[in-house]
Amino acid sequence: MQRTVYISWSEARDMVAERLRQWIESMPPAERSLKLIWHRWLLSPYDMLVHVQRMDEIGKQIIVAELRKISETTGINYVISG
Amino acid sequence: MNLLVFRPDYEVLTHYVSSYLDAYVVGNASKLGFKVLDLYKDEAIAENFFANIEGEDIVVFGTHGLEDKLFGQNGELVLTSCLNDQVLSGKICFALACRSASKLGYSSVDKSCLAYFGWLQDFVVIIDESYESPLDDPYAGSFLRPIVNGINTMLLSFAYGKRVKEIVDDTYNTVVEMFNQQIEYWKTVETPTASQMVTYLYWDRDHFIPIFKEAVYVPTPIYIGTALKGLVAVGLLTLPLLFKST
Repeated sequence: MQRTVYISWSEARDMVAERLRQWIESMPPAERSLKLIWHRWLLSPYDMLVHVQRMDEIGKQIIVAELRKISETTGINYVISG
Repeated sequence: MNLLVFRPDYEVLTHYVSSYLDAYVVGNASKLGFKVLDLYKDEAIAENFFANIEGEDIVVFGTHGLEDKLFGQNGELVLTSCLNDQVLSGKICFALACRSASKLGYSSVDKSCLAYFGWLQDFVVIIDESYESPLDDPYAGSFLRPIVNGINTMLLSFAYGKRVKEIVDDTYNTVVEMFNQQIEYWKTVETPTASQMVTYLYWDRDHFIPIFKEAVYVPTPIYIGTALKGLVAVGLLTLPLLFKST
């Protein structure tokens, strides 16, 4: 059963930024050449973190994508309000 | 059966996408009996596209897109909704590109494009730059193999002579099923990278849509046996009388 939780953009940003930080810190050397192709941009995990912290267009989409995954895997449906 | 594959190759995304289309679609289409026109790299330009589009049954794009646009080699503008998308009329189009389903897809189907497969949002891929060939990159493969499999299903369904609705169902279900398989695999890997893979596999799966018009289908004829035709005719004639008497 899905549970709905309402959060603000800044709370969502902090949650996703923390996950990205954990990803970057735990990344073994073999994975340090990973990049994300987002439209015309080639983003390193650190670039992704910067976009999320800025909450620009890409950053907001990264936040939405991450919350969508959390919702699928945990059953907690995050709704960003405000 | 004619297939046009349009695959520019001038930076990282187009290099990845064109590699997968070349390896998994172009050769396979020929084996299925398609006459393939492969517009690759410097040939993937508007002039060549418009010179050859007539007579094609299916068009596959692997390129950059915006809501209302698709681009060619070096970012040349090729298709724009409400400007020149009528050239897709009567064809099936698969656009492996960002966002183009949201406007160009609907606009071209309004102009009798039989079906348009595309993405409502940006198409996202995680890659490992340390691999020399995109085809060896297991991260990118998780995103691109579901799509080339979907395109091959579309070609196979078309070659079997299936109706548009069946082609749409087969293609959409293949893409989604393949994405689901990749998601299930990466869920079993307990690393933060695997978690990121799942995030963007969901993203690409959920923003993929087919757009088509039911109205373009040729309806399956309802067979009425010769002996029954008379009865049906009498029934149709007497029906108004029944309503009148009630």
